[in-house]
Amino acid sequence: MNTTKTFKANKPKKIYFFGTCLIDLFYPEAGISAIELIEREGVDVIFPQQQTCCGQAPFNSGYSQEAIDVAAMQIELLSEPIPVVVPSGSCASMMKHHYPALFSNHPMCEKAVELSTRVYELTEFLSRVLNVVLVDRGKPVKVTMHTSCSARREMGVTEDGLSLLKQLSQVDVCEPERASECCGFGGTFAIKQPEISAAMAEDKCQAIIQTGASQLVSGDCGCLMNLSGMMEKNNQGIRSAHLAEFLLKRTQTTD
Amino acid sequence: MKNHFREQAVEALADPSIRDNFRGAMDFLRDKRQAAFPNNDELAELRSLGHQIKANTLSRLPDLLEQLEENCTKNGIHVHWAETPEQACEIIHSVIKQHDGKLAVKGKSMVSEEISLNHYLEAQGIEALESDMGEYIVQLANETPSHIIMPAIHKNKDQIAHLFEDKIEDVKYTESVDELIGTGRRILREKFFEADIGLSGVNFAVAETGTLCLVENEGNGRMCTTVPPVHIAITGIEKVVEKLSDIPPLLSLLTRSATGQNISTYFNMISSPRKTDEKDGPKEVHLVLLDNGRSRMFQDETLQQTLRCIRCGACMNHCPVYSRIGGHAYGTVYPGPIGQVVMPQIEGLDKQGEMTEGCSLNGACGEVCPVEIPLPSLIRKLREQKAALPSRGRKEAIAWTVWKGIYGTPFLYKCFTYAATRFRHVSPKSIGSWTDYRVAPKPAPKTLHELIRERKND
Amino acid sequence: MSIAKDNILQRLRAAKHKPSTEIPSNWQPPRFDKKERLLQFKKSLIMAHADIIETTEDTWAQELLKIATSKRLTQWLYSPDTVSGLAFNRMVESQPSGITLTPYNQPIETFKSQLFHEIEASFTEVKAGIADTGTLVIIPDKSEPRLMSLVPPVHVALFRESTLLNNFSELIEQENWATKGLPSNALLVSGPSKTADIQQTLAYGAHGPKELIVLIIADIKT
Repeated sequence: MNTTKTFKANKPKKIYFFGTCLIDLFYPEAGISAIELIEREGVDVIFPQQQTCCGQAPFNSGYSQEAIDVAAMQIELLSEPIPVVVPSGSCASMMKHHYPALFSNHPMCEKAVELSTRVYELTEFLSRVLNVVLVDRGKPVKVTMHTSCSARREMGVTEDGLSLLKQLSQVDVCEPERASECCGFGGTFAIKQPEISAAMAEDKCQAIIQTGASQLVSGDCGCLMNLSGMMEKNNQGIRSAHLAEFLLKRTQTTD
Repeated sequence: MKNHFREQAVEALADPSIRDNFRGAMDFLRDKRQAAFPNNDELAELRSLGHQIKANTLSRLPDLLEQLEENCTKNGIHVHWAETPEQACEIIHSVIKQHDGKLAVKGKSMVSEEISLNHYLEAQGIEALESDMGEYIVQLANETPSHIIMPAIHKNKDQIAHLFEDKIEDVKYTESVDELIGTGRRILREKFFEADIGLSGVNFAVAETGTLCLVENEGNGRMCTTVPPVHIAITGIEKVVEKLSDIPPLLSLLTRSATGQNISTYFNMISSPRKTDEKDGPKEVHLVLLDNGRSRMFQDETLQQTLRCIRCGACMNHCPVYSRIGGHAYGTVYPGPIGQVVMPQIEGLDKQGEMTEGCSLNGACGEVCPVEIPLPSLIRKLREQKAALPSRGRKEAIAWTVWKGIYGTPFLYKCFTYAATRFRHVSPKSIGSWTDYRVAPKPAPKTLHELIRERKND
Repeated sequence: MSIAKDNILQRLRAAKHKPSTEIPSNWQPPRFDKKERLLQFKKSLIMAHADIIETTEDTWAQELLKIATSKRLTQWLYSPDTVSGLAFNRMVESQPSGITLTPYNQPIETFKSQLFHEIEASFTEVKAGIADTGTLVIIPDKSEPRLMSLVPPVHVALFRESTLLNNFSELIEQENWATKGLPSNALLVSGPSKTADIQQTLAYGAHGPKELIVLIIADIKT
């Protein structure tokens, strides 16, 4: 699986930013924060305005042709040989691990494979490629982090997110019980099996609340939408934010 | 009859004892497995080896099955082939009939569940008694196993205590597990003593030597395969393994993944019926090789990987869905992730396709599978096949066509997101089942696309 | 039923395959140096709830008798065909103990009732031990049949360190089973019978022996 090209030796001059459809519509601040974190390190960010969605939802639902049609457009938009940074473990994984299989019998197969070697999940890019150093400027706070299943199992970036968080001196990071268990989102799963999804989300929310943290962060907005949506419904909400947004706020000089 | 997975799952979720019993059991089994693999590198190497052994076996499956038959026959084991559950039941019944058998004691066998052997034999006037403690409990309760390794995992000891009190003569209510097991032991010992037939499954059938390997802790498997004068083993054709030297790594993977044991209490290698100078062991040993859809699974390069399974149950132990709804909610012989892959292939997607939706594709099952079956990918592949069926849900198909129309046309996408953000204050507060449990997400005032355009213009 | 066989094999042979790709693995079964090996063996057996008694060539029969008397086990199954069985017999006969030794010298059909209803304990030798998993290798034969290590509620096994192997793979190699073929029955026994089928609570003596006692004769240190 070590197909990732190494840009470590010399930091890339520019990168593509793939914003994801969920961030585009519901969490644009997370996208802007991620871009600022990258630009701050002296890297130019290119955001192709024609981008829409990676196609994961129909792919996971068994509607591969629909996924291919939309994914193909994204591949064409991201054709220059520079890194593609995605502020979501699950969308990054779709492009990195599932595009090659999805396009295996497609004329664009080669392009899909080539693209997959350039895809980075945001925290992975910040910590392993840019080696960012974060200086905490916030007040002491207890934070808990939920790592999405794709970030954890497919992208293998659990430690990247946590290590960024742990660079913040005033942040006490506490892990919820059964941290590796799914939060119940699973894209269309939450719509198709709402009861099971809710049962999983309830357990996850409880574990999060039990940590005593006042802030929940995650590298995936799908999980955040699921968890904060449930906590808000039950009036037990703690603040929640995409990790990028949290990191930027904590480290900004002008506050 | 279509499987009503969602309805059954909802029912299970409403039962607090199911929630508690499974949560407790799954936490226990996950911890045990993790402790059994203290070294991640060793685990990775061992899983690769397990994958390799089973993949090599599959690549030569027909030849190895013939070799197995040849060597078993040489050893004095009778080999039978069954394409369907009916055929398998008939074969077993005819062997029992030849010996005028009345009581068959059974070791644990999921394949026997697959062919509904107990019911078949009962209808023929033959008592088939489960002797694995968990299976015995399940049979006593007139239920089916809810887990492939720990069949009575859905019950706690109070429930089992009540069951024994109700169903077994002269047994008083006790929550002492030792006493409950003592009761099972006492009753089943007499059955081993009386039985004229022993039935069992097989964990590995070694082609090279014609050997049937059985993994167990209780000793009931050894009883069933040794005390009665006739032993009939039944197994799926995928259980064949090429070489004897393949067994140690597979055994290590199986017991460590299943229950976190470095080895089971008993590993029983049977290569022949009783020989003339021996004093015990069955006088006849039969092996029934069951297809039941396996050769069909074998046709597809991807789905063929299903047949690597060694039935350890780790996938269900780690499945967040199974952990919450338990095994019965799936309504199938094999529950959990492996069930979601096996059952639609055996019984057809029209009947069992619905259960493939009971998965968040979180990947926990694939991560622990000892033979690296990419279970999430296989579930996704089955969903793809289901979506291509004429019987697919029309609403969903339309929804994806509309989705593609919008997300596949940047201009339409821009209009859509513009509208959603501008009318955010009137965005629906209730969006189906999502808002039964959560508040509705509210679009942002401006999309990321817009914010970036604005940044550039600054 | 050869029609079923033909149909199954035909379907399997009709399937197209990817050429099987080699999946590299460097897994090796665990090995131990000599001192560690016995420790691992004992540790694993104890963890599996077996009792171990370290003894010597000169004293094991005495130990066995002690077990019998202290546990008040009088009806023993033994083999008069093995050296150790004979030694046990000599020990029992050397003093009044009230212990009866019964040989398993008839087919199960005529011996079943006594075996199931009267015998309290059995004494057998073991072919070898496996350190990795704390396993006794038992190869039943005409002098020590299959049920000898299963039906009696207490099973005492005599094990010599000289037969201790590192792992299961070594056993298969040593016995050359792949070419020679296997005995009718070969068993790996790693503790007393047990179950966790009721609420994950371990209970011993599910169907087989409730107690497994291993007499360990360590190699003489030179």
